[in-house]
Amino acid sequence: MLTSLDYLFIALGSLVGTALVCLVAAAVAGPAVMGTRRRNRMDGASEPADAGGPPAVERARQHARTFTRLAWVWLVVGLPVGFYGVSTAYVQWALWQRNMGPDGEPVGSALTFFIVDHVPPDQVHFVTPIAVGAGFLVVYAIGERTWPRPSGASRQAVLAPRSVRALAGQTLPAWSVALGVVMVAALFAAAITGDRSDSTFIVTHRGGGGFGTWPGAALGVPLLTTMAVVAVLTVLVLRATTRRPAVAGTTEADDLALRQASARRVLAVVQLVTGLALASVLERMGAGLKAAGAPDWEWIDHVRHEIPANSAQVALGTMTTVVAVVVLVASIAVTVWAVVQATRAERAVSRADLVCEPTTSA
Amino acid sequence: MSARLEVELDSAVPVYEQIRAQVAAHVAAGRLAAGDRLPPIRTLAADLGLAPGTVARAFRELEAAGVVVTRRRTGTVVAERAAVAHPEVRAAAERYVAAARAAGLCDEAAIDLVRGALLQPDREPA
Repeated sequence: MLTSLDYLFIALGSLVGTALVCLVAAAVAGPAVMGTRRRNRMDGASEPADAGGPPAVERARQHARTFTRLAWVWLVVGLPVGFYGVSTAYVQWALWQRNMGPDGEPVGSALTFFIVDHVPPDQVHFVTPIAVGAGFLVVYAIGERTWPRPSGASRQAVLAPRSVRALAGQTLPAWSVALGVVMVAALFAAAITGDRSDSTFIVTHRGGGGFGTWPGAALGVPLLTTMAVVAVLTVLVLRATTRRPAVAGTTEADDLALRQASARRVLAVVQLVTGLALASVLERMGAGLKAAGAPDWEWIDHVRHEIPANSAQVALGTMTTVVAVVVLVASIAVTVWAVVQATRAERAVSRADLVCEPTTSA
Repeated sequence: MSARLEVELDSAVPVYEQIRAQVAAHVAAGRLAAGDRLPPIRTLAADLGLAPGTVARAFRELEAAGVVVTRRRTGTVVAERAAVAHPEVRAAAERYVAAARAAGLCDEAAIDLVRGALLQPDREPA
């Protein structure tokens, strides 16, 4: 049992973690953003392109690297802080709100009771990966919106429209959508099979009954809402990637490769957080099914009756847990693959830029 | 390979005019065909690091000249009736550019020669 001092440490830990992320963000992104703004202020000056500075491709790569690192710091720190810091602190805070003070008065106010009643602790835990993913997308969007603008007196552009589809490709969007569809199906199935009272338990009637915690509508609705926000943010970030200024001195193919690398990184994380959330939901469903199908006993007329295990339910629960593990491993593998692909594509562009001089049209 | 634009901010020619002339030239040369979509004004302005109004003015001039049309759904596309040079004239122009480059002429000097030829008093009226 945790003491109030433990709660304090957990809450402080969450706050310190968040502050740490903000500090790292400011330290990493500050110089890049200020540098971009300074260059943008110089935009339009009649001076040679890239005078005194690194080549445009290198500037673009530095900018991308800065915001990619920043977004990943947010993700890597945010996930554990969210899972174990914020959600645990929330649980303890919610319990503390229900305590009675020394004079018998409730500790919590009307507002905090309202929050505790309407936001179950499980929601905070389940929504964490998707919410952290949304934060990642916001950081990435800032990076795309502050992308280095062309400088110098000579400017080039391609007279062809760019599409999100050309940037995103087919594999990652299809995989992400597939995860989302499975998530919706799983949450829908959980909502209609859950207990009617609060949809957090499943009850099986086989003489007696078993139950297990269950990701019913109480968890599904906030999770799907957050997923919808992430989907909208993903489209917005990809559109920003499509519309950001072209990198001066690159060929059309290289510029497309840089955009595709950005899009691939975004989609890699979107499918990762969707996969994490789906794995959590499936794991909870598996555990619930196994608990509900486990052997039990009950008293009937002061006689203890053994209730045998429901092997089909246990098998289904085990299978769901295995699927959860598969989804988790696959999401992580796809993330690694996509990030490696993106990094290779970006490096290839920088090598080409060092070898070839920018061409000037007639 | 898509058609490209290149503008010089320190040129005496206004930037919108450079954009207009180059788009019209790409259409005349057949590199942009009827129905081809042009990038949105904001995207092109971002690529060139210009104010959207500058690109919008160039597009307005092109629309007025019948080179492009703007549709609500598809955006700005090359007009069906956009003037494309006769194949023989286009081939002659390409030969002329090749000869001018072989002779080491810069682009401006090559265009001046064409202007000079057009200004010849004894040429047949168009």
